Amino acid sequence: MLSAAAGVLAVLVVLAGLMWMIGSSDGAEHPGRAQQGEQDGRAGQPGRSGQSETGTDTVELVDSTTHTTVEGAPVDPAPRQGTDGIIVHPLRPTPVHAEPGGEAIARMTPTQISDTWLPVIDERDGWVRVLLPSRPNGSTGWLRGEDLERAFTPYTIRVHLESMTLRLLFRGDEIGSWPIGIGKADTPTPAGRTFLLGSFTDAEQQFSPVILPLGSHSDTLDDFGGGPGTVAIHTWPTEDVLGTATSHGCIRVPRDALDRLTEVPLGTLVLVDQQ
Amino acid sequence: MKRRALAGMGATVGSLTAATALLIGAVSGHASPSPSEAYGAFITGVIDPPQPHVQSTDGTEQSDTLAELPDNPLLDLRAATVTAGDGHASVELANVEIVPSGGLPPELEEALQPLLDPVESGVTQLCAEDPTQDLSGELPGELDPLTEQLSSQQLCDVAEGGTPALLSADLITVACEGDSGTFEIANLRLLGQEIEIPGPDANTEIPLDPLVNITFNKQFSDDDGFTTQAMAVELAEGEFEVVLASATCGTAQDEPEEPMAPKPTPVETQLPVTG
Repeated sequence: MLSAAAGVLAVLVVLAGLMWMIGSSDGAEHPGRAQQGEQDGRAGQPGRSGQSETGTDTVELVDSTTHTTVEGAPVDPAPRQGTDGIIVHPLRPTPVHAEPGGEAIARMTPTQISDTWLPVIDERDGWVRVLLPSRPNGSTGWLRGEDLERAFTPYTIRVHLESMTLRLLFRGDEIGSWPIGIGKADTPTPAGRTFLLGSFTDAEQQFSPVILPLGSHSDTLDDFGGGPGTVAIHTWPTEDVLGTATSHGCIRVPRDALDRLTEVPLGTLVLVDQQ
Repeated sequence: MKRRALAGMGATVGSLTAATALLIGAVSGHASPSPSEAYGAFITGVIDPPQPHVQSTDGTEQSDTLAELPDNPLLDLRAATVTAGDGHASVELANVEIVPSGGLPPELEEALQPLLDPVESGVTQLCAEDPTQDLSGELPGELDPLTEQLSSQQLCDVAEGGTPALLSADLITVACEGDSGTFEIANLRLLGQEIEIPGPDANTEIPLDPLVNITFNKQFSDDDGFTTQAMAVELAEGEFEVVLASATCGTAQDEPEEPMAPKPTPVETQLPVTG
């Protein structure tokens, strides 16, 4: 009797686990077909699509860009973790998969706003898992390693919403810290793990000499000013916005911060937390 | 006798076996370039990703606390503190309860019926015939340090009266420093009875079932570095996993072999951002 009883704890764990697994089978990581999102922006290549390389059916694949929504993209499993600084650049248009060797859910192109550089959050058997620039926030996907150029960025950008502070780290050491302005209560700056998606100038925008769009989007604004609600780092004409929550989601920084941040490679991780 | 109580009774015997594997000590292993990390609890599909969880990828110390775990039938605690830094990591869990008071969900009790029936009859017989008999004669000799501390009369009383937390402890601490680890536990109780912990070797696995692997004070080295865990349960070849208090220590970061990423050159374009 007692030897049989010795297994009860284990069986409890097994059954409870199976029940929970069954109960959560409609969880976040469901491969699915990509669907076209907004296409009204001008930067990048919104709307262009490629063909899936898997299966016999021809499947339209949406490009994963700041203008699109990729459904079925696995959710970032560790939105507060750093990485080892590896970033990748597609050498050619390449499918984005929900899992290594699995169904293609989107396509990644070599150039979007700028050259496409994406942070690597995991690697497995010749595949790399990257953060995606498309909606929804926290989207990830797997790319074939053979389609990618690799590089290393020694930088990490940390954004602390509670203290409204941005810190720039180089090889783990802080090399700069600045007060920032963040999104107001009804248009908050989204927390989580994202990355520097691009670096551009816009003669029609007077508020910042250079704008640094991130891979994330406003959670409350589907579009803004004719764009897809992309969150960005940039300056503001007046410095009284620093230390305030008054933006529509963007991260407003002082000019000297922008000067340093424009040196940082695209693909560099941006960790936004509530601290 | 209620089945709920019996489930706890049977699990108690399993825990008796498991508790013999608890250790205060350390073993060594090799470390490899990797970040340090620590988390309080992980249950596949339930507390997944683990919570609370910190990772230090750049050597700076990261810390987090959590006052409550997501609702689940297996694990409860009052406070979890995790810390990870340059070559060290630690976890401190306060007021931990495994299979907390209140018993099992009805579905679990029903599923366990085939296993519990023989346990029920056996325990009923034991308690009816002679609740004062010495349990140690019924259990493997290596369990003597524990069984001699337990009163079978109290266990029978518990089985009749309802189940307190199957296994509880005021404090569980794991920590690693480089390639060595420590594990401490304070005031461990089986069904409310406080017991002293002997000091067996690390990684003593509990041979409960071919499909189940329970290890207390699990210590191992892999590509992530050296890890010590208070308790780890693996089922179905790792498809389901429960880990309580895990600390992983990497070594100093080796610079990746990838070339340095380029400094970006801003492009002229238009992308309305959230401002």
